[in-house]
Amino acid sequence: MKNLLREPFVHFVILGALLFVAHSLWQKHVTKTDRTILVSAAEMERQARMFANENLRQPSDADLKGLLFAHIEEQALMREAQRLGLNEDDTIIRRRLAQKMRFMISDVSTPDLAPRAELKIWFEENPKRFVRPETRSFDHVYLSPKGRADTVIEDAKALLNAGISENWRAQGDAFMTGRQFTKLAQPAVQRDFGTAFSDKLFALPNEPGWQGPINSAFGVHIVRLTNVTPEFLPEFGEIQAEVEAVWLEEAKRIENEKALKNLIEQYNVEVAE
Amino acid sequence: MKIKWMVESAAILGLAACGDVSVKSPADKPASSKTVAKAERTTGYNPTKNVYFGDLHIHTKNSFDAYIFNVRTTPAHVYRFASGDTLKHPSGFDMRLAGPPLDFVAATDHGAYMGILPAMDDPDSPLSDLDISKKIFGANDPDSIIRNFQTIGQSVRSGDPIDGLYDRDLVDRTWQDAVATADRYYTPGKLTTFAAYEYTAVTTRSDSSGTFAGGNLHRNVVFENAAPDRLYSVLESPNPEDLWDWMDDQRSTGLDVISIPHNSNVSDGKMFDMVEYGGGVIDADYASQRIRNEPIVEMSQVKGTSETHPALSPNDEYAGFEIYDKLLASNIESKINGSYVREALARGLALEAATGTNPYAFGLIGSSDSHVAGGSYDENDYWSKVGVVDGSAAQRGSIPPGGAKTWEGVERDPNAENWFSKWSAAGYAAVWAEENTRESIFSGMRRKETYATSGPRIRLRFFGGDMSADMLNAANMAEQGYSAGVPMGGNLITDTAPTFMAWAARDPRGAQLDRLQIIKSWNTADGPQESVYDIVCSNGASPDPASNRCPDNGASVDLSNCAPSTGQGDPELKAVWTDPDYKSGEAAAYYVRVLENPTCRWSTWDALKVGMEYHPDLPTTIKERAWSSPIWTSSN
Repeated sequence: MKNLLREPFVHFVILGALLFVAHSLWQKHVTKTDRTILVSAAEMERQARMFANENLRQPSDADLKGLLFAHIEEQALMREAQRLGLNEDDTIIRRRLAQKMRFMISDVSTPDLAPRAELKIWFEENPKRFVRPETRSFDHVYLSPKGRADTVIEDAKALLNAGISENWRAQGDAFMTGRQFTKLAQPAVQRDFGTAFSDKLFALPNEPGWQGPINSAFGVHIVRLTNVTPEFLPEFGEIQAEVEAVWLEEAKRIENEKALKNLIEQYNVEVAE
Repeated sequence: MKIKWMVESAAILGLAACGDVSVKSPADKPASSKTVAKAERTTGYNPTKNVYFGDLHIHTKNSFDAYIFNVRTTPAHVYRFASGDTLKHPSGFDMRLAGPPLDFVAATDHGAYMGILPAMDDPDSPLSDLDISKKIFGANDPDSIIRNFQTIGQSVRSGDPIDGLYDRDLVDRTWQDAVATADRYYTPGKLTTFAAYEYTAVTTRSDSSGTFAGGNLHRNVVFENAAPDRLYSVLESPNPEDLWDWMDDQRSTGLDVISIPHNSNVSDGKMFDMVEYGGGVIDADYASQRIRNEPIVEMSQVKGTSETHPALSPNDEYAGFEIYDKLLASNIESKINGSYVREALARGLALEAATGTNPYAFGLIGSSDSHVAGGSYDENDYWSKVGVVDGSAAQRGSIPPGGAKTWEGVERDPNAENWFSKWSAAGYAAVWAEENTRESIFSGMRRKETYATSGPRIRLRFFGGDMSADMLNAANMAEQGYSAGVPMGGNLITDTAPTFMAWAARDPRGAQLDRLQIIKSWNTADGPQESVYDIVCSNGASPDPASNRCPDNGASVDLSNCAPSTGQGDPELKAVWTDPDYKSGEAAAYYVRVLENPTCRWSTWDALKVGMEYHPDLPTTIKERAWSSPIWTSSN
């Protein structure tokens, strides 16, 4: 029973029932008192409080009379507008009401975090959301095409065939973002070298030694892979906080959708041909 | 009349909002702040520094104007967008970074009335009961909506808070929540976030009484790490010198902070004035307080570029780049002198000669100033900045209004014509730093080892000192640059003509590079002076020694599909250069500007996408660029 009371949908049904009862009572009230504007003491107190907040003083008798008159005027105008059906096709009123209802739904459907065991099962069932992409570490020797656009690939091949030396850091040209890169995923390589280079780098066999040459947006590169970490799924314990955040966001989205769907299902929808 | 239209359509649509309007949504629960031990180095640490790209100027629904533009995203969305997530634009379409994630970012909502507008529109908040709230969010009368929204704008401008509406506790809570959100999304080594807000000061102008027009003195206030519980907004004082006093106080309690001016282009000559805010003479105290608090300036963003104006730089063929010179929300032209960076560099040297300290020895960055939680940096995927007001091509004047098929005989929308069509795709802030952490990036900004771009992620190095041509071919060029001199943002003391080494590499997603230039700014008895030197050309060409200009490399764009011509331009340009016109004892500021080959402007892309005619009076192409922070030279 306790669990049932925590179900957003149950809240929703109760809320709906209450609204229905309130609405029927209001309908009776309206037909009976259609031409009566009832100003309660509570309403006047509310008006007086607002006045005090805005003006930093209590309202005088004259102010109260003014507030009362303004309230009556607003009520009379609103009732007359309702009577004439002016609220029927008013976009602003329609959207405002829908907006208020949407808030109510999203308030109702804030889910509690699932217990750890349940989270772990969900994590295991949804590995794709948490998998870490393959990363590669590499060194490279860069050859700028400047002044040798026609021969740069041949030059790179010759350099590779001759064997890159221990002193590889002094070979080739300076590269703006450096010569050694650690544990980069594909988008990071794309950022510094362009898409063509990134695709080729991630297709290179995981072998020691220098490979290539590979073209980039800048020129030609001879590359040495120093580490390849295949994509992997971290242990649940290591990333529990992340799993919790993703789970909550997802649960909230599902609850919202469910609540909205349940609401819509209470209506017969007819779409004209 | 024009403001009217803008606020009108925005406010009406603002009523149609749906989404989260509560200040404390469950997703924004404050979390404990993360700190990184200084000794712990993140992946990618590099003693010769990496370049990081970011945006330090983004608004969300907590900004009083953004909420009226129907923006409902929060600071958390800013950090998610920066990481590559998709957001919804208020006009309904998806926004996503086409390029890689940002390295650093800050949400910078207006400090004045931060979080107040959402509360005015929240039926559960007592603020929604206020008369002004009902007139903005409960009314159906556009005139009333405009009048009442302008009341808030007027209050921001005058610095006088509106009684009852200015709920200081709510502002404080919204700010504390923004700080906690920045802490929560800070991921050292991956995404650096900063606690920040905008200080939105505007001067008044005697000849524009009754309108909004005034000199824009806006600044973004950025904290290195921890931030105080209360911010200091224009509602405390509209005088930026008072803001600096407050920032000095913060620093004395151990919270380092900088303020970054932006849109000097529409400051009506006030941003880089030759006198203090109140008209007094600039003295050494003013100069040192200013440069201590404002080491960098945001020069490139959606509302135009503040490098220079064609009227100030008649001999610079590339000076007319994305110029926007209308005082905000008006059609009054901003005064040119005192509004642009290049002239300010010379003014700073003049003030240094007079006071001993240069108040305008600042570095440069770009940013977006997006009001929809995410910047549009690419010309081919542009969504401007003010939400439902300029979310469509017709609204921002890149295609004819009202469904017209042609521009001929069409009555143009004045706001699109005078404002939005002149705006520009967002810029980037680039910072050279050892690693992607708050400490490292903030120090890079304090050192001014930063540069601005107009949107592409061009890489740019710049050194001054004992540079020699053989260093260009050295495999460890950057290391040699650091050890032989100073990087961008530095000071060089020399008794002979200064020598510089500049190096630019294209954005792999952008266009090839056309030319690399050095721009020199200095002061004489006749006032500010400037020279523009092309120092290296693409395609192996050399600058003409008489004109200091490269020949046209012939690059062009096919306007039927925006495809660039091939075969022109270089992926990298680098050169060592010595000032041929140096005069003994001269003090000057030198900065690099690198130009790309031409590409389609956003307005051309907008029109091309729907097969419409280009706007006849807008440039069809632009030459995107990057600008380094200067290196200052002086003699012993």
